[in-house]
Amino acid sequence: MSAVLEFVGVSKWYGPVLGLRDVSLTVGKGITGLLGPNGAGKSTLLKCMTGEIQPSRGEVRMFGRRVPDPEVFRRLGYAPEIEVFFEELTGREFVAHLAELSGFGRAEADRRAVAVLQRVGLESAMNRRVSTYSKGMRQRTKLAQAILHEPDVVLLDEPMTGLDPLGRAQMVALIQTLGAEGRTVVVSSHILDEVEVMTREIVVLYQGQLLAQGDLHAIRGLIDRHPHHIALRTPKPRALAAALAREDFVAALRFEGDDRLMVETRDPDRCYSAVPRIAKEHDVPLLALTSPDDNLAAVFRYLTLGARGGAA
Amino acid sequence: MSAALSIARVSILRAVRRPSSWWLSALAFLPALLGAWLGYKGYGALAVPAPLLAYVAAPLLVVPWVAGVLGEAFERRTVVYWFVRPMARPTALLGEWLGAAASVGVVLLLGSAMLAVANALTGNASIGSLARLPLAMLAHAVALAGFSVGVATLSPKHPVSLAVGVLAVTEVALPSLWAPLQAVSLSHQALVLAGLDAAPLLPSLVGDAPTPSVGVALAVLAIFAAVPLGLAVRTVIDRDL
Repeated sequence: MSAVLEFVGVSKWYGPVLGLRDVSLTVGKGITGLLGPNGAGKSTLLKCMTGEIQPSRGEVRMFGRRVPDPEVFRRLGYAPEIEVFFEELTGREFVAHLAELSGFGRAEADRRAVAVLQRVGLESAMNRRVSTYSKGMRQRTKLAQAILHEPDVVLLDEPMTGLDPLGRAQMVALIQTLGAEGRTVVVSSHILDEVEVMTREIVVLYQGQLLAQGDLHAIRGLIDRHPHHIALRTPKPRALAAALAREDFVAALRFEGDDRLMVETRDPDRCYSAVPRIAKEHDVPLLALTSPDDNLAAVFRYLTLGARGGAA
Repeated sequence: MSAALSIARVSILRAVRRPSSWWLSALAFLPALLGAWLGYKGYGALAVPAPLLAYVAAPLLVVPWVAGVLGEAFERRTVVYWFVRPMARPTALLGEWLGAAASVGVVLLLGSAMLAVANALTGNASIGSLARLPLAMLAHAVALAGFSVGVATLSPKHPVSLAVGVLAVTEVALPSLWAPLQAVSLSHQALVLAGLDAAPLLPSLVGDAPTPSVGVALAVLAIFAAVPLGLAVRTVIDRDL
């Protein structure tokens, strides 16, 4: 794998708090999932790549150049995790403005803004002010401004947050297209299954440390050996529980409030594919299907303890 | 430069669309109304309203308009969208300053022009005041905008309180302690540029007022904007967002 991005012994402290601890890694072309529970250091890693923050120690290189570098920024697209924009602007004005800052003339910037907003499915809302945008529309706008200049490297910080199932599918398709075009795409997420549908190449962070890098299979196997929790939101949790109780992939069921059902499974793949079908068969509306962060965090803790035990 | 102009244009567009800009703009026109009323009653239309415009209305208009908005952009990290583009970070500050100076400059220009017209219509005008007052207030706005951009970059958490604090010291506290320190007052120098009586806002305890000088006034205005802007440029280059 030829390295597009390189981290060499990067540490970052926020006062006494450690953000990253001696991270060394390389990222090549294609899609790489940056995985870790909340607070693992994913955003810090991405911010080091964009030059938003400077490492306390070590260095970050992109195309062999030390970040930050204006030449690097010509080839970099970044969708940060923040959900605010210049709220007084329309989506089209916002994206066109950033296209101008990427070096395009006004007419070309506007043409690109329209094209990229169409590409992310925002054509009908692009002339509305971004202050009226939903969370999902904001995610699309962030992606649009990140790819408007056709960068070689695209960094996406939690791009699935706030998207409905259709929006997630569209976002995944877009990200896969970017990867297939030969770009380097780094996608951060705290949800393994989100990343899994996009790529098998992952970087795992936990408490600021690089825990693993490489193929997803290894960590996936570990996760599958541990109980996996899936939260379902439905107005009929008892009806859905009755239907799911018959399935052999369900290890346990728990009600949480009036509209939430927690499923414990050792076969998350089957569970994810079967639950929507079963809900539909039993005429139970399924409003949301999410994997709580705790599960992944538990696996990371397990991995960390395992590593410590192995070292000992 | 085109990046700075793009940021300036967007800054103006955003200001026009922010309701708070319109409310703040009203501050620039209140002295004109007061001037018209005073002139109508036979008093000088400028004696009170012009210092009111320079010392009170202009800072109250410019500081929240510029420092408040840019400070918020740093705090909410929307500046990230600029800083990952192929341009030097200070370009964004330059653009913000240009945009802010243009927008608040136009408002203060119009407010002071109305005051000058009110003065002329009530028979107290010198022809010079018609042009000098608006131009001086435009310079005042440009300097205050630069100062505000600098303060917002240096202290994005509390830009408005810091800017108001600094202005309280330079505009009121220091000149009232010792009259020669009027020289550091931005508003005083703006009034000197306008060719008006530039008495301090509060009477000075000791000392004599400095001799008005247009050259000194321009230099003070330039320094007032340049020092915070220069510090901001140095800071923003390496700062973690």
